[in-house]
Amino acid sequence: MTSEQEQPKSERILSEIKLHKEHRKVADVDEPVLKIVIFSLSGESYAFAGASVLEILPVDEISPIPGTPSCILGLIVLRGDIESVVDLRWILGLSRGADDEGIVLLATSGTVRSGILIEEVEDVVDVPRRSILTAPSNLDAGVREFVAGQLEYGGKNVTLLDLEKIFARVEAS
Amino acid sequence: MISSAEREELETKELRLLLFSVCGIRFAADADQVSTLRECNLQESVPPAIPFHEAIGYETGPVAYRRPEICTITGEAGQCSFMIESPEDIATVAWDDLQPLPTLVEPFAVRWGIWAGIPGRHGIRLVVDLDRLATSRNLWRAQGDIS
Repeated sequence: MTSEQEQPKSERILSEIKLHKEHRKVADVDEPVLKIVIFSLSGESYAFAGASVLEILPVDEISPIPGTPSCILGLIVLRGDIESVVDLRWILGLSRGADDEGIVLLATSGTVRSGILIEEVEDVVDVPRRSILTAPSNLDAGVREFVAGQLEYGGKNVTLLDLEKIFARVEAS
Repeated sequence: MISSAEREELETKELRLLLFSVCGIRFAADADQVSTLRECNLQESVPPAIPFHEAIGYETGPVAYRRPEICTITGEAGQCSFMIESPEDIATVAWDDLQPLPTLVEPFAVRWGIWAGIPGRHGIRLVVDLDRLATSRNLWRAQGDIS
């Protein structure tokens, strides 16, 4: 009787499964991943790099501020501090929703920090960097200049946005 | 990082502010800049003052001031009068309670004289420098031009 024959089949299968899973774990750890915050806006899915999103806040009240460009919705108070809120829909040239209520992502890039009004957070996930592809050329021109890449998640196309470019656009308004 | 002496100075130094609202937006202005404040007589033949919402660049439809008052400031360049809603109060605020505006907003707001905010439970009160607003909008009139 060989050693293989001595070991019950179930044990052999189990060992192989464990070995395989262990290998996959190592592979998963080695694979570079990017945490992203996926959110919806005008019926589409977008994302920011998770490292740039500091907080996800329900919108309470946005105080308008005169003399600012249309892409700045106003100011909010967060734990006694004043933060600005940017209208991402306006920047991307998207149509306004029926309901302007939403969520504010407090995000940062370089020395700039601001809230960004979105509709709903869909997910916060780690995705393999290799799954992020170059944005397709048929993407809407208004959106394309702010795109860092595109990926498929949950059966949907998700457009990864470049926060630095979005803030730069607001500053140049 | 500020020193404890600087912190103490911020906490003890105060600003006297005229508090008022226009179009539902809450404002505060340095009361020391205001030379006169009087009720607006809507029968006056000469338009006495620029409506504050126009001066501050708040693009909205027609605005009716319910209890208008004329707030006049006097400077080296002359006088400037704004029509504002009747002030809510004059309050003394510690410098430490004033907050700089966020990086994205400040460059735009400061052009209209808005230089700080006071966060509160009911939102944010915008602190406006009336002298700077009058200068940036070229609103000064030689004394005597304003009735």
